[in-house]
Parts: sequence; C-alpha cells; structure tokens
Amino acid sequence: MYHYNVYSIYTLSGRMSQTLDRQKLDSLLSRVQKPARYSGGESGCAMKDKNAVDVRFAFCFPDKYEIGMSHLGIKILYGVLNTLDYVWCERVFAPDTDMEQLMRTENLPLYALESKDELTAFDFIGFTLQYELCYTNMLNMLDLAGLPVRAADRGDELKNIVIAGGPCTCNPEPITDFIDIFSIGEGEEALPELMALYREAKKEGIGKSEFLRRAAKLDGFYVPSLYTPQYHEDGTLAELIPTGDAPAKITKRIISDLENVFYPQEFVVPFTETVHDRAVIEVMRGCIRGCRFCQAGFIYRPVREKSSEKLNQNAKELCYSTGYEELSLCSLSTSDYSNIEPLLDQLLDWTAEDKVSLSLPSLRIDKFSKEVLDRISLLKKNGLTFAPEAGTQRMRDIINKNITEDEILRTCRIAFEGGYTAVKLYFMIGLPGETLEDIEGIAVLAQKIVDLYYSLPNKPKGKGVTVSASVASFVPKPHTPFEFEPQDTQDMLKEKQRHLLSCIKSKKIHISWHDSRISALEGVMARADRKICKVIETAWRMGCSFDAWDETFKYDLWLKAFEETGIDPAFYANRTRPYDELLPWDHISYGVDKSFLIRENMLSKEEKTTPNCRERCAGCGAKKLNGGCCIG
Amino acid sequence: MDNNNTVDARLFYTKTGDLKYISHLDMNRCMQRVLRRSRLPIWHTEGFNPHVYITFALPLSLGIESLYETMDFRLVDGADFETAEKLLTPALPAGIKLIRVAAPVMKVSEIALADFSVKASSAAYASDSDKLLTLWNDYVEQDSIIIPKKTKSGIKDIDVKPHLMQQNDPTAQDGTLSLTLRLSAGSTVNINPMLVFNDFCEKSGISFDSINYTKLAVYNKNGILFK
Repeated sequence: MYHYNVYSIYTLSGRMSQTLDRQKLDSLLSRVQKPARYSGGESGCAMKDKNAVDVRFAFCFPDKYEIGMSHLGIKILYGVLNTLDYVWCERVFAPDTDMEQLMRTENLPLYALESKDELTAFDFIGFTLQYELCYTNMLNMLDLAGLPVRAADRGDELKNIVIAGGPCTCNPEPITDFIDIFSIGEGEEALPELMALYREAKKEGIGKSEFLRRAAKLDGFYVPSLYTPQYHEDGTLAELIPTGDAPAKITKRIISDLENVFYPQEFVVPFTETVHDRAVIEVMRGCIRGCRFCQAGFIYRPVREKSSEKLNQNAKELCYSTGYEELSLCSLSTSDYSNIEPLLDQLLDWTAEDKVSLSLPSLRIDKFSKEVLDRISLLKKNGLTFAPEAGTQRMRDIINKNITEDEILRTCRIAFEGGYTAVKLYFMIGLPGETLEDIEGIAVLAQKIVDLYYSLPNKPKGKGVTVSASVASFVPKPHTPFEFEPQDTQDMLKEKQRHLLSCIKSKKIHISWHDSRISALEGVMARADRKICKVIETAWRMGCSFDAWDETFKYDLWLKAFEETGIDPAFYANRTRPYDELLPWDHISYGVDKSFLIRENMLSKEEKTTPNCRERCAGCGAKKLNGGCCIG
Repeated sequence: MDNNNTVDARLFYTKTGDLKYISHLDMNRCMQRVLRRSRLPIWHTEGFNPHVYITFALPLSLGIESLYETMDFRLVDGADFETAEKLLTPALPAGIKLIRVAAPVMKVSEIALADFSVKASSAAYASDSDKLLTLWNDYVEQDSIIIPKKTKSGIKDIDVKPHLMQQNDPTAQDGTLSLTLRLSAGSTVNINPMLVFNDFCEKSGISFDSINYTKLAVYNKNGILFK
C-alpha cells in the first residue's frame, strides 16, 4: 500500500542526513534484551525515500515497543500520515532500561525504526499520551534524542516541532512547558491539515513561532505558549489569557463520517511478541453508557458506529494482509454495538474456515441467539471478564454503572454451563461516597459467583472455579462528573484494601491490587495545572521514568521532587473543587458541557442513575460536535 | 484433511541485515503469518487448535545472518512449487529472500556440517592486521580447543577442535579478520561460531569493534549441500 515517492517537488535546504552510526547500533543490539524491538524491518512498515518527502514525522509512543505496538491509535495515524505522498511517518518507542543505558554511555541518539535516522532529523516529533504516568518517558525520549526538554529552549528554527495528542491531552496543562502544540480530539483529518500548513510554512521559510501562531488558528490545535495563566492567592486558576488571535476555547476534533474515514488495510506486524498482537477492527467510537468515573465515556462522545459490512471488509483486508490468526473487536463497549449479531454472522462466515479466532467481549452474551453462541463456542474459549466496578448496587448507582447483580450472575450461569471455569472481575475502590459496606460488597459478589458455580448440576465435570478480582484505586479525571471530587488518600485506600482482604473467605477468590502510590501520582498528574511542569521535570532529572511499571516506579524520588519544588500534591488530588472553580482544563472543550457534568455530579450524590444515550438523551452537549446528530 | 494428498515442500531462503535480530521463536511466528498472508494452501495440524505446520532444519542463533536457511511445510489442494514461490515471495518481510521451493531431497537428520563466514573488525589493529592473523592461527592450531559450553545438563567442557575446519585461508586486512569456518551442525553436535570466536577473543585478549557472522551453507556428513 505504501509507495516510494518518485518525484520531489523541491529540495529542502540544509537537511543533514543525520543517519545513525550503524556499526555502533549493531554493537548495542548484540548486547541488549529482545533486540527485535529496536531493529525495525517488520512486514507492513512504511518505507519511503527521505529525499522525496517534504515532511518527516516521528510518531513516538512513550513506553516500550511491546506496549506501543499494541495500540490501535498509532496504527491508524501512522497509516493516515503515510497515505500523504509528501509525508513519511515513522515509529519510535521508549528504549528499555538496558538499551537506554547503552545508548547513553555509548552516545547513540534516539532514532526512528524505519529509516534509523536520529529524531533531530524530523520535522515533527509526535507523542501519543495514553496515560499520565508516561510523561517522564516523554522527557526522557526528547533527551535521548539530544533535544532540550523545554519548548522554550528549542529555538525558533522550523524543525523538531513537538506535538502531543491522545486522551491525556484533555488536560494538557501539566506538560505545557515541554510541548509546542497539542492536537485535541481525533487526528485523522486534523493531522493532514497541520502537515499541509507546515509544508507551506517550510516553503515560505518562516520560523517556528510564526508557524505555531498560524497552527493555533486551525480547529482542534492548542499552542500553550500563546496562553498566560493568572492564579488566585489560594493557588487556584483565575484566568488563562490568550495572546493575539489564539482562540479562548479549543474544541476537540471528531470524525463525523466514521464509516468512510481512513482505516488501515494493513498493520505493521511485529516479529517479537507484543501485548496485543492481532488484527483489530474499530466497531464504534464513543460509548452510550456514561459511567461517571470513566473519562473515555465522556471525551469520545458522540457515539458513532460503523456498518457491519464495512467492518467485515476492514477485518478481511487486515487478516489477509497481516496473516494474523486472531481478530479483535475494539471499542469502549462492544456489546453495545447495534449490529453485533449481523457482524458476527458475517465474520464467522470466513474466520472459522480461515482459522482466525475471534476475540469477543464476554459481557451480555445473554443478548445473543443460541445459534451465534454455538458458532462462537466452536472457537477458542477465552476467559470471562466483567467490570462491575463496585460491589453494591448503591455504589454502582452512584457511579452510573448500570449493570445489576442479576445480569452478572445470569451471564456467569450461561458461561459456566457452556464450560467456562474462570471469571475475572474488575473493581475500583476509593469511589466517591464509598463506605466499608461497599467494599465488603466486592467480596460478597465474588462469593456469590463461586457459590453459583457449585450449585449448578451441569457445571464442567471435575473442575473447580476461579474468580479473580482486580481492584484498582479510583482516580478522578478531568471532563467527567467526578472531576470535582477529592481522591482518597493512600491511608484511606490501604485501610479499604485491608478491609476487603478480611472479607474474603474462599480460596477460589483471588484479589490483586494496583499500587496505590502509582494511583496517587496519577491523580495529581491528571488534574494539575502548569505549576506541575517543574515537578515532572525535576522528578525526571532525579531519575524517574517508566513510572507505570512497578519495578521502575520511584515514589520516594517523586516525593522529593514535590518537596524541592514546593508543590503540594494534595492540592491537586485530595481537594474538593467547588463547581464554580475555573479548572485548568476548562478552555479545552470535548463538546460535553460543564453544566452537564455538574448535573451528573449532583445526581451521583443523590444515588440516582442516568439512562444510557440510547434510552434517553441526557443532553450532554456533545451532539453539537456532529451537527446536532447523535444516536438519540 | 487427507494426508495422502499433501506434498512435502522445503523453502530455501536468506535472512540478512536487521533480520539477524529476530530470534528463532519470533521467526517461527513470522513464517506462520507469512504462509497465512500468502494464502498458499498448506497443511495445518489437526486437533482442537489447528495451526500452520512448519519445521525448521536448524535454529539460527540471534545475531547471525544466513544465506542458506530451510523450512519444511506441506502443500495441499494440488498446489505446486512454482505457485508456492510465486505466492510466498511477496508475503516475506524485507530481509528474508526466497531462494526456491523444492521437494526435500535429504532428511533433516542428515545435516552434519555448516559453513560460516566471520568478519571481525578492530580499529586498534588497523595497521597491525598481521598480528590478528597470527593470534588466530595460534589459536586454531592448538592440539585441542577446550571451550565451556552450556548444555541441558549444565556447563560442560567440549573440545571443538575435531568439529572445526577452515574452508578458506583466513585473511586479515585493515584491521578486519575474515574467516570461513566449517563447523559440526545438526542434532548430535552443533557448534555455534559465536562460541568459538568469543572464546578466541577471550583467550587472545582482543576486543573487536564489530563482528559479523553469516551462515553460508549447510551440508551432510560427506560435504554435500543439504537439499
């Protein structure tokens, strides 16, 4: 699908080749773990002639190869950018600690996998930010590339534009010191517009700051250097003042026509094992549910679906071009996809014969007809997974997780009778309004599933049941009805963890936690303002990176960084924010009105639920993004 | 599927450049996907979880390029070798090049020898290449070359001298030592050129800036090319 560009419109002046010292790279690769993560050459990767393109884009995922290569967004945008004949988009991942050490001691700069050229050779250095704890990795990658981490120190020459996108940019403020420009919302149409603007700017020979001023006028782009914050004496935000004609509010971009927008016909197929190594089709964007804790449920609105015919075509193309033996259906809540049964029918027509196994969400298998269920059961049996999120109905009503115990038990029953013996449950603790009774409810629900299994006369013979509960600590996120809520302190979380353990009576139930210190840090990063930039930089300079990985998370250094910079993490994480406070992300609009978030927050305090978008429109405001269209 | 209608096929290919960083396990997965991409009708294992049937004659160690690799599989539905070549060629990743697909002539168990080229460069010896040659000749002309080798039952000393021949005279120029070694290969005794060369480096106290290993060919015990 990717072709060499056979013509060059004009020659770019002064471009150095900046090709890596291959002998040095080889010497490093012979000494590191899993060198296939750093050598490129995978099937499906885009190879172009660098002298025949005008814009070079280094798409960086600030985590290890095996994580980044599992991410769908990077596959889509890599494909979109490479369909432009004047752009060459390449991939960059964070080197693992052994490789990083060698790169530093032997002075080998960070490079892109396709051309093996240094990052400084690129026009754009783009980061996709999927979780807050990758911020130090981003700084580390810029530093490994030999670039200053602060935007202000990178000069005015039109090159090495550092751009960031992804869900974390719904509150871009904590990293505004480092990023030149943010892409807010969906990138398939916005990024090509930016590429065209850059190409023109390069022809004209303007500087970086002038280019950024122009880019700030494109819809969905935020140039933080054009805004100045003013704070109240108590440290809360008073105003964010735009410079010149930069817009006061930046509204996220969405794809109106999901059916016909670009979708990759091929993926880069990694040699080495990655977390998700399979073909993926995106069945819908957005989610009808409106769970109040879930940021994705609000920032990807409105709901848009693809037709089953289009999805079947996407799936076929991908499986044929990649040779993948597994296909997964991706969305925030695939069982809510309207045409799930026709889609499965079409997929099963060829996947069984082609020996492609389907990865399906297990919730609501009670919705499917017996016929479809039988056909699915011919395939490999994956484990059964549920996300009740909370242990009691009261708590589930507060968070608007509209799933009942009956539904869970009914689905478990169907699954057990069909031969399943393992159930995985996802819960959160530290939710707003939570009591110890709600914590106990987690143990009670898990026990009911165990008891259900043993009560069934037709359970799988000679096999026991396993119920695994993964218990995360709730982190309040921007653009959700809980953006005003204080996060539980670590002491509170530890107390709740202890209580839960004391309630577990059966050996069939396994409990696992997330490190509550990591959640605490995530909570600060998620809702911070620009003052946190210096904490992130200080922590990184002290040696923090890969903060999302238990074995490399250095909490003591983070505490030291807060202390040294005089920033109180509790101000961001554990404080109740009044409805009328100007929040650091209020200038970024995801279409969902703040008044709606306040309304939802008040309903949660009354333990009242809001019906899903298909039952009744809750009037969140997101439909204005799509010309007033939503699924109603 | 009917076993009687399957045709044994052997793919001969090269694996060069950055592909030397792809482990044997990764190659296995890669080739399964290559075969699926090619849509060549091939035999799958039977049973609950059918998968593409492939076997490799010799695993290639990480870091070694090869000009002569083979992989066996079975064609079904009347597909011939010509079709196989035509469909497989575009399905291979850059870095793996098809030489040919043919009927296996020898059994994999007949493999006994493999040739490797070793090219090692040291800037420190750029103007003293003869010294490299002397050191190598001293090393290789010992009566026995005892190297500790990791085996399934722990580390064992092995004399590689009877398993090592030089196919060409070694040369050294501008700090680069070039060797062509014929080593025992296969399921009984398999000597990795890295084992020998690293031992040479260690015992001679040389540290090279870069070492390139390339497998050139594979033979049976009579020195006839494995086909």
